[in-house]
This record gives sequence, structure tokens and C-alpha cells, in this order.
Amino acid sequence: MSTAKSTRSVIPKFHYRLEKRKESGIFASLLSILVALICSFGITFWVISLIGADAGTVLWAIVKGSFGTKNAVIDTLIKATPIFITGLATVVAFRAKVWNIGQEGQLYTGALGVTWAVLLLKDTGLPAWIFVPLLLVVSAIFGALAGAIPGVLKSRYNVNEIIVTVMLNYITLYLTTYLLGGIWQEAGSHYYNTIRFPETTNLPLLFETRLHSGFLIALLLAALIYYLLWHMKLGYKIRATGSNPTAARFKGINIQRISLIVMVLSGAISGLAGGIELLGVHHRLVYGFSVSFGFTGILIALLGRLHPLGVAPAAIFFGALHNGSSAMIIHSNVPRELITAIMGFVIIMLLVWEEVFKYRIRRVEDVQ
Amino acid sequence: MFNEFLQADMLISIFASAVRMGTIVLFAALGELIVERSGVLNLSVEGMMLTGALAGFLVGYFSESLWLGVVSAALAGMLISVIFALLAIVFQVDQTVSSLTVNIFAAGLTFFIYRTVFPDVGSQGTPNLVPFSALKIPYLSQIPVLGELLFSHHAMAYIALFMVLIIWFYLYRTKSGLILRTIGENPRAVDMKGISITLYRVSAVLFGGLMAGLAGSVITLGSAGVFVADITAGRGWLAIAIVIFGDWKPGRILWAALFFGFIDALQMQVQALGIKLPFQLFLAMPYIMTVIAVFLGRRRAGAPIALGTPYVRE
Repeated sequence: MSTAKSTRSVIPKFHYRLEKRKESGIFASLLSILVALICSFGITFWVISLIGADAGTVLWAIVKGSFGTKNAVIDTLIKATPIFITGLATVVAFRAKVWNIGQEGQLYTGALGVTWAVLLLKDTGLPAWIFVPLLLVVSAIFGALAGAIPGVLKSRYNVNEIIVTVMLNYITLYLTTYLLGGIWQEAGSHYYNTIRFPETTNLPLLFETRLHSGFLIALLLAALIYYLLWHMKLGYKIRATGSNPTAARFKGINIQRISLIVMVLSGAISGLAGGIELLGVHHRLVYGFSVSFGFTGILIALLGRLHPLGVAPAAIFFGALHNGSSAMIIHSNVPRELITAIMGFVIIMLLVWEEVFKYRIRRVEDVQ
Repeated sequence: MFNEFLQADMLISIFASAVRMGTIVLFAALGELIVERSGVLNLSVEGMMLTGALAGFLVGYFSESLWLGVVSAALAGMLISVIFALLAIVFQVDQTVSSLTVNIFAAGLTFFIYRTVFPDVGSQGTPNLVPFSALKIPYLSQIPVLGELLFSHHAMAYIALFMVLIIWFYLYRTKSGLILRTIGENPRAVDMKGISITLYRVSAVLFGGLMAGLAGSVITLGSAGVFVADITAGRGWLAIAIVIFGDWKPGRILWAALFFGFIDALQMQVQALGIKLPFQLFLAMPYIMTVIAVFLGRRRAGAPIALGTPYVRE
């Protein structure tokens, strides 16, 4: 707005220009998440109607199935736990722009480690207060080892970590079926499963419900990772490597080392997710115990904007969708796979809107 | 047992099946070659292939025309690649993040559509179709050994081999191919000539989607005859590894694809022979070999310099 006291002799002319900001602020981030969710909600509504079901009933079934009763809420939190943790594993890696896609395999490796330790120690009569923490540590170590393979290949030999981690997912799965179809298989079982673990390996339950303490561990882990990334030197190095590797190198950060550390850390967290899921829910290793927890973790990390505080609600949201989908298939002929498609769509929308909201319209003075 | 294994018939049949299996990844790898040469790192080949596999199967199943299925697969792969192009090139979202998102979306979408179309799968048995039969080239297919190796495949295999020539010709013998290669190395130089980087890159990505879609259709229409979740089983990722292993050159990519086809074929034959090693080891073989391939390909010099970097005008 030009004032009368303007020093210029002519009234300046304006035109409007579209400008792109480099980073979007917290407000734009939240707005893009909101708009993405609304868009996805609309599309979902439309798709369900297209299949010939009553969209209102289906969506209400999902909401009731995930938050309707106390048990439903507990179930939602149980379902959210493993993907919460794999989401955190993703945050650590992606913050350094180290693309770990191997959460699924690392989670299985952690579970294999736990199973190995349980089968080894089950007759020693270890008390639960030693046994459970020991097993959790074992799962993290095994996960860390699984993460170290792509980590070393990347940091020492500059081998693309994405392809290696994807391949390791398949390899680990075949290793699991090999063990479950052979030496680890429960005698007389026709399925890929081990014997039931002894009671002393159970994760303690919370509030006298089915909710196991794994959820608490996940919350604690989120706080730890927040502290690591924003209040520790290593975390600063991780973020610096991610945002500008060249500048990081000039600051004296050894980015090879960082990518190895990050990969091992991310693997350890994923492995822990596997251990917690076995000790908290299944109490035996069974093929397919992970319903794509690793891949969902990636989605959650992206939806949570690679921030532990964002990952928590994102995990609960996805856990609710998973849980609610059971109610959905009872009440309608909509297949469960709709949920996975929606999850992908939410992220696509989010990425698009986030870029759109980076643009702002600015009034620019015409140069005379 | 090993005598049997080494029998000539067996070897020929393994090699012949290597060509068939190699065809699948060859389509995808050639598409990815064009995409990467333009400087875009598209890691969503797997998702595009999966979409192609489903579209090819559905259209082939309901129209009872395999060729209509192939065309739909190509279009479906392209349609998914539009999402990637929009994210990665138009909005310049990180190319890896865009790829991962598209992959997960495609995995969910394909299985959702499949289950919507066939709600009773499982209880009613898996719907299936009769895949492409071998197109024996007259006279040539009668030649001993070579006949079965080279001239007795389904039509898609010949098309794939022919595509190697076309891609080579495009990249090294046309002006447009030269521009595409330069965009992958030095986009600024091309931009200064007034040529649209975005247009070239988007077209490359769409072509990559088309080829990945075709690759997917070869799985469902060329050999499996059914669709199941994750039927691509990592072959999209293998295609990316083959581009690296093949040093971003069409000829080497052909050999790399055939080599991996051989591993795939060997894995199946060895299983059938009942050799006393865990069959999971053979199933895992292609994945282990892929890790080895990217490891060996780590010092390849052919990688486009601008690979994975979005072009921003200053």
C-alpha cells in the first residue's frame, strides 16, 4: 500500500508473482497434513460408494472398530506399537538421507534373534526380570547386525543401500521360512511356527489390560530419539548430513561414518520392534507375524514429517485404520486392502500439498 | 543326479527359460535406462510393474485377448508413472521419497482392485488365464539347440530383444537421444539451448512406466497366468540393479538381464531336481546375486552425473 508520504513522485504499480519458499513452516506442514487427510477422506468415501457399499456405514464401522470401546482402543494401541517403532527407525535413517527400506527384514532378524535366544535358554529357568530385557537386547543386536550389512556396503563401498536393503528383506524372509520349516518348527505343526515361548518371556501388561509394555517402550524410544536428534552432537551430525552432505563434509563431519551409525541404529530399532511384537503379542515366532510393519513404518515416518512427535499420532492413526478394517470387512464387502491403498494415497496427497503450500503469492513493485 | 542335471536337454531348457525370464526384467531395465539417462532416479519400477501385471491380467482375463491385456498393462504402468513424474519432476519432491510412496500406493491399490474384482478368491480358486504360447518361428525353430534357445519363445520375448536395438539406436543415433543423454549429464547446458528439461524428463519417466507395465504383463500373461499379491517379487528392484550392473548401456543390460534370467531359471530347475539343499536357498539366490551385482557395479563409470538431482533454474 503506498502512502501519500511516499518519496516517489509516481504511484508505483504492482503485479502479483508466485514465489516458492525453500522450507515450509510448521503451520504450512500442519495445514498440508490436514488438507491431505481431507482429500484422502473424500476419495475413500467416493471409492467405497463406487464398490456399492454405504460409505457412511463403512467409515463409522472403522471409527467404532478402532476407538468405540475400551478394548478397541487397547487393540488400536497394540496394533500401533510395532509400526510406531519401525516408524522411529525410519526417522533416524531418513533424517540423514540414508534410505533404509530394510525395516521389514531387520524386524524379522530381531525376531529370529529372540527366537534363537529363547530356544537356547528356555530351560535355564531365568526369571522374567532378567529374561525379558535380555531378549529385547538380543533383538536389537540382531537388528543392528542386519542393518550393518547395508551400512558397511554403503559407507565403505558406496553401494546403493536401497537395493541392498530391499533384497535383504526377501533373503531374510526365506531364511525365516527355512528355519520355521525345519529345525525350529513345532513338532507336529503343519504351519510355519515355533513352540510357544515360556511365560517368563512375556512382556508385562499395562493397566490390567491386554496392552503390553511395548507401547510404553515405543513412547520412551520416541523421546530418546527426539533427544538424540535435537539435543545431541551425533543427532546434529545426522541432520547435517541429511540436509546438505557437502556442507557437512566441510564442517568436518565424516558422512561415511554417520551413514554406518545411522544404518546400525535404524536396524537395531527395527529389530527391537520385532522382539517386542513376539514377546508382547505372539509369544512364538510364526510366519507372517509382521503385517508389512516395516513398510508401514516408512509411511508413518513420512506422514509424521520425520519427527518423533509426528510419528506417534501417525502410528496411532494407522493402527486405528488397521484395527478398524477388521470391523469394516464384517460390515461391508469392502476388502481390507483398501486401507493400504489409502495409506499410500494419503502420503501422495501430503507430498503434493506440502509443495503447493510452499508457494506464496507476493505483490511485487514494478521497476520503472 | 548330476549326470541328469548335465544332460543336454536339461541345459537347453534352462537356457531357453533363461531367455523367457530375462525378458521380464529386460523390459523394465530398458525403460529404467531411459529414465536414468535423463537424470531421474526412478525407484518405483516395482510398483509400476505390479500395476502392469494386474492391468494386463484383468483385461486379458475379461476380454480374453492377451494383446489387449499387454496394451492395458503398458497404459497402466504409464498412469502410475504420471504420479511419480508429478511428485518428483513437477513438484520436485525428493526422488527417493516419491518412489517409495508410489511403490507402496501401487502395492495397496493393485491388491485392493484385485480383491474388489474377485471377492471370492480363495474359496472359489484363483482365477487364471491361458498365457502366451510359444511362437515358433518357421524353419529357424527347427534348428537343433539354437531353435529352442532363440526361436521358440512367446512374442513378448522377441519384442523385448528388438527393444534393445531400438533403445540403442535412439540413444546413440538420434538427436533426441543425444539431448536426453546430455540432460542426464549437464541439464544446464541443454536448458540454455531453450529445450525443456521438464518435458524430456517427464516423457522419459512416462516411457519408463510404459516399459515397466509391459514387464509386468509378461509376468502375468507370459508365464504365470494368474495374479497374486507381490507377484513381481522384487523384479522391479532387480531391473534397477541390472541398469547399474550393465553400466547404463543397452548392450550390457541385455547380457545382465539374460544372466539374471539364467539364475531364475536355474533356481526353478534345481528345485525340480530335488537336490538336497534347502529350497529357500535357491529361492533366495536371485536376491543374493542382485546384492553381489550392485556391489560389483559400484565403480561403474556410466552413471549419469545429474542422476537423482532435480533441475532448478538459477
